[in-house]
This record gives sequence, C-alpha cells and structure tokens, in this order.
Amino acid sequence: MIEIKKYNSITTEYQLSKKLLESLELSDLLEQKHRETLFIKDICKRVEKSKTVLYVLKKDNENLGLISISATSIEDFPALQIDFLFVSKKYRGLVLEELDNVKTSEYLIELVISIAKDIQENIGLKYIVLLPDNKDLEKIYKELNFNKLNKTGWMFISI
Amino acid sequence: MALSIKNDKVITIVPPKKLSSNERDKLVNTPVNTKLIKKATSRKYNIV
Repeated sequence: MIEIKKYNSITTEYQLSKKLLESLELSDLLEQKHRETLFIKDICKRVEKSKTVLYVLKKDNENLGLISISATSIEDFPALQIDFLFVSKKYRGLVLEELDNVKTSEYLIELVISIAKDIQENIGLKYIVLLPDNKDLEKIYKELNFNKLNKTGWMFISI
Repeated sequence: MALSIKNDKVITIVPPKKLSSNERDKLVNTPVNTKLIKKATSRKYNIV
C-alpha cells in the first residue's frame, strides 16, 4: 500500500532524522552519502522550525523517498520551493506499478504539483522552483518538466 | 533543492530577487504544462 507521511512542526517525531537515515538507503560513494546525511539532518531541523514540510513516500511501510517544500518568491512572483528531494538508492530510476507506473522522483514531483494547485486556489502562487545540487540532477529535473531559468541553475515549472 | 553544502555545513540559497529582462520573459512566457498538471492532480494521494 502506498502512503505519504507528512511531517510538519506539529507532527514531527523525536529523532526523526535518525529514523529516516536508518530506513533509507543512501548512496554508496562516501562523499555523496555524507552530503545526503547532512541534508536529511538539516531538513528535519527545518521541519521543527516550520521552515519546511516533509513528505515521506512509503510502500508497505518501506520508505521509498522524500520531498520537502516551503514558500518562497522568485523576483515578485510567489512560488513553492522544493527544498530537498531524495530517493532511496534501491528505488532510483525504477518505475513502480504501485506508483501508477512512474518513478519515485516523478511521483513526488507530481505530489508537489498537486499540493501547489490546491494552495493556488486560496493564495497567489505562480511557480514551483528548485535549485539542483549538481549537473546530473539538472538533467533529471529537465526530464521531470522543469525549465532552466538561468546560469545560476534555478529551475521552475509554471502552474 | 535550495540547499547546498559549504565547509561541511548546509546553507540556504534563495531564488533570485532581481531578474534580467530575458530571464523575466522566460519565466512569464513559459506556458503551463496542462497535461502534466492534469496528470498530477487527477491522482489521489494517500497523505497521512
């Protein structure tokens, strides 16, 4: 069964980052593994401070990946920002029947689009934005329909 | 992501507050991908 567990400043759990790090498969490369650990720990702190809301995607109680979002603006346009997206190593690139035959990353992005459209009914919102951590991710986000804004690397989807 | 790592610490990078006219044109004139929006919003997400 597919389930998305939402963590905000009210619903966050004691030692959330530890639990997530134990339940997700990080990259093999030591440097990348260290970066992922730092990001996940930082995101959990941001959740406590109401700076971001974290969504953890689960299949039969196993964590597939996560995405965290917050409010921002690009110039004077209100936007929803993807702070962090992570897919457990064993599920990277895999299309899952349980996710309507899309990859975990695609499912998480579409979840965010759905949330953004809900928000847009009540308050002004024009874009979903993110800044890829590296060039490889930029290519992946292009495949996920993000447009590159400029050389700084920021990418966006109009909603 | 809007987070990066510098000197082993996570830092926040905010979106640009000032765009060139070309960047602004690109932002404003990029059409909404209705097919993608429809696909994303037609699914029921089991959020708990």
